[in-house]
Formats: sequence, C-alpha cells, structure tokens
Amino acid sequence: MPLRAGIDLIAIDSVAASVAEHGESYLRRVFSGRERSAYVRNGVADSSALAACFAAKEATIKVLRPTRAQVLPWSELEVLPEPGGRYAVHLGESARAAATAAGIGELTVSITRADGCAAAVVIAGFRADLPIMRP
Amino acid sequence: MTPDIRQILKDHARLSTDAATLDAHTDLYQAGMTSHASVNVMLALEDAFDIEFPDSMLKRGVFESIAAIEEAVSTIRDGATA
Repeated sequence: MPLRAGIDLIAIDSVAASVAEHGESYLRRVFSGRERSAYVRNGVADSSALAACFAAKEATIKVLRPTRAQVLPWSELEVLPEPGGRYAVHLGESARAAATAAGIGELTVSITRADGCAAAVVIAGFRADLPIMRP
Repeated sequence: MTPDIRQILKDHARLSTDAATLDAHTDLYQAGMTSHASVNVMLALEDAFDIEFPDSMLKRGVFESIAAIEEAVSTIRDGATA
C-alpha cells in the first residue's frame, strides 16, 4: 500500500513565547476548542503539549501537501489525545478536502518530547477508491 | 506599509537573512521562516494593522513574501473600510 510521511520538530520554548506574547489570540487561531480544552487547564497553557500538538499539525500539512492557494487553517487539523497515551488527527472541512484531493485516507500520528523539543511523525495511507495525487 | 512589515518580519519571522534587504518577492519560507514563525508574523501583523486574517486567507501563499503580505493586508484593510 502506498504511504506518505510527514515530520516536524519544534522548540517548546517557541510555543511558550507565543503564548506569552499573543495569549488567547495565539491559542484561538492555532488550536481548536477541543485542543484548548485538552492542553489548557485552568487557564494555564501546557506549552509542551501545545508544541507537540503543533508539530503534529505541521507533520499533517506535510503529508497533505496543500498548494499555496489552498486554505488550511491550523485549527482544522485537530490533534487530540486518545486512551493509552496515543494521539489522533481529526480533519476539519478544508483539511478533509485537501486529504481527499490528495487521495489520502487514514492518518496515524506519533509524538515525542525530549530536551526542550517536541516532534511528530504522521503517516498517511492512500484510499484505494481515490487516485493518488503527487504534487 | 513596507517598513512596518519588514520590521515585523525581523522581529518574528526568524529569517536567516536581514528582512530589511530582502526583495519583496523573495520566498520567506525559503529564507528560513518556519510555519510556527508565520503564526507569530500573522498575529503581529494583526496587532500592528488592527486587522484579523479570516480563515479564508490562511494559506501558504498569503505569507510567502513581503509583496504577498502587503497585498493581503491591503485586501483586509480595504474590506474593513468598504
């Protein structure tokens, strides 16, 4: 089965700095309501978890490979915790359209954090019923 | 408008070259701007110009060059004042 991989690495400090400088604007523009519920507790943002979430969003963008004109808000690439310490990527309308256009079906994400950085890998499987686009 | 955008890029885009001397059409991503840095650029532009980028403008092409950013800011400001 054809696969496509995306990877991203981000310094946790850079996310903490964005939260400190832009506060709610940053959180609202980048993270969905469900993500904010998961990663901001009692008004305190978990920068490490947010950084991991952002890395997963970016890794997802890398597998979707949107064109420069394709609308893809960050909040439409939801990365949410699952039981057992795993994470799942949930696509909003624009992101689903990008995935369908690329022939992508299932997305699997893996996240890690160490030494002040968060990293994520996303593996995309192509749908058998759609043509595979290779931009 | 350009000097403000260049200063914002200098402060937030983490470019590998000086924003003051960049050609207006240079690809900012190729010049070292990460996607996360582009978020900070967007939010700083919103603060500086008192605008908000709508979801429909959240695409790579809008932030890929100084010229593209100028055009986007102008579009939003024109819409806001129409």
